Amino acid sequence: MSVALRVEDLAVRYGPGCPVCAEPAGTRSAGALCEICGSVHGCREVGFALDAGEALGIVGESGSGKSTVLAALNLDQPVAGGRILLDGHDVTAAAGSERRRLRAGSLGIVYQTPQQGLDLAITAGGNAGSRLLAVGWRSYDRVRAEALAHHESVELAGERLDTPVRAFSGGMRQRVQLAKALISRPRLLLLDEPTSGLDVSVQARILDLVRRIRRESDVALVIVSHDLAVIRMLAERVLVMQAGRVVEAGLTDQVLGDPQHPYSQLLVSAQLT
Amino acid sequence: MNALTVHGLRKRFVRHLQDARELSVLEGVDLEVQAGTCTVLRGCSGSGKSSLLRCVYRTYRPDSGSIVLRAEGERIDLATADDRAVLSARRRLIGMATQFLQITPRVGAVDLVAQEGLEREPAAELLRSLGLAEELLEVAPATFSGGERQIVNLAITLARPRPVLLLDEVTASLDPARRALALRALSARRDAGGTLLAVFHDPPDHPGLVDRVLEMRAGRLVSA
Ligand SMILES: Nc1ncnc2c1ncn2[C@@H]1O[C@H](COP(=O)(O)OP(=O)(O)O)[C@@H](O)[C@H]1O
Ligand SMILES: [Mg+2]
Ligand SMILES: [Zn+2]
Repeated sequence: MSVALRVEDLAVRYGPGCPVCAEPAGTRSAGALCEICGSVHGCREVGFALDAGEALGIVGESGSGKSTVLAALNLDQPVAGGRILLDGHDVTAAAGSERRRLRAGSLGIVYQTPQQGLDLAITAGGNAGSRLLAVGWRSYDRVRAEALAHHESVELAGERLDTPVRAFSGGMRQRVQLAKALISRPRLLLLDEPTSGLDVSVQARILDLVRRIRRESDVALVIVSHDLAVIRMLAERVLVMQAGRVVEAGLTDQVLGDPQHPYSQLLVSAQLT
Repeated sequence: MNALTVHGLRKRFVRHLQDARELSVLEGVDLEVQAGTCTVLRGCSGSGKSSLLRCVYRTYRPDSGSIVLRAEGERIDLATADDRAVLSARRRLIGMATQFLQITPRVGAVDLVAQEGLEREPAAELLRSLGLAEELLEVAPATFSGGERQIVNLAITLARPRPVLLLDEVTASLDPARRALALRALSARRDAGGTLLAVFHDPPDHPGLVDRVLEMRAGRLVSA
């Protein structure tokens, strides 16, 4: 199996930064807030490797840094340190056309809220197809055919391809985001709380769809959720984040069955009540 | 050759939410399981049988000791291997079935078994051979009885040709006829060269299945 994604010592900082910020966590400051310059460590010292076809979950309470990690992986967010390697290529500092090409081709993301990932005023097909145009597809008919294929593969009715996304329900909008993410056949699929805020039954069907995608492709998947039950259903391994740091990494069944860190124990015990 | 060699295995739980109270469950377990044999663990509730199996499968993280798995020409220490190596071993070398099925919602029994890499027809045949009723084959196990779930669970575990199987009370809720079917399937796996490490509440009454019985007492193994 080949390593699709390798992340080394990744750090994202919101704020100016200072010499104390750059020290290893715990040297002079352990929390997410730097007391010297007031910067927030969105995440730091995050590292993992992910094979093609593998899925990694990230859990933690809101504000723990989960979305920050995803944003960095999607090259949405400049990093303060560390490296991101996609198929062995260092993409950490990708800029300009290289960054656009990676984002439109090798990466696919489903944001927590559809407004972040979609233009609600344009059609489902137009949203998905826009990524193919961004990587240079020129034939309208081919883009449309590919958009329709992905629209249907996320179990949306073909006749809704030309409907503006604004008219779609929450669950359908997440499906459009999935179609848009997958249309470029990415190496890495990033899901940020893809089902939170949806009705339980809608949530269940989206999770089924993600499971099917996992079985039918060898895309590497990183899924963020505050819900351990979602992670258990979708990912074999999990990182537990707190205050911008990974406090535990392990097999999902191990983190659920034998959580080591006090914070993981709290998450698991909260889950089961 | 030993398929499993456990040495000096210790496991304690630290309950951080309860004043970091500690509970020691395995106090230095040594165990050798020869390839192609069936070893049965027995002992009182709470003596550490499931904890031992879970440490071997790495659902629990051992504190110290080694758990060497040798199969298909490979050698891996499951106590210290990294997570991805453990996952790879789980796919190819070692399986575990417990008393309880981890329910995957909305997936029918045959499909659940088929997802382990079988075609649908052999998957259905495996479930039939363990005594699952014909009309339940396509039903999602969420509504199954304890015994029916156990059948699905065992079928999932047997679906892949993994050489080492850990079995934790896998016949506990089966009626006598289905219990006999399950034991027959395990016996066939052992006869085909498989290695079984199994916890049974009642001694399995299938002639010739059990090669050795060990007893757990307060986190230690003693021969029975
Ligand atoms: N744009 C930002 N500016 C400043 N702080 C931010 C910004 N985005 C996130 N943070 C802070 O970074 C930390 C991690 O946030 P986030 O990655 O959104 O966590 P999660 O996704 O786990 O809820 C939090 O303290 C959050 O308030
Ligand atoms: Mg978030
Ligand atoms: Zn600072």
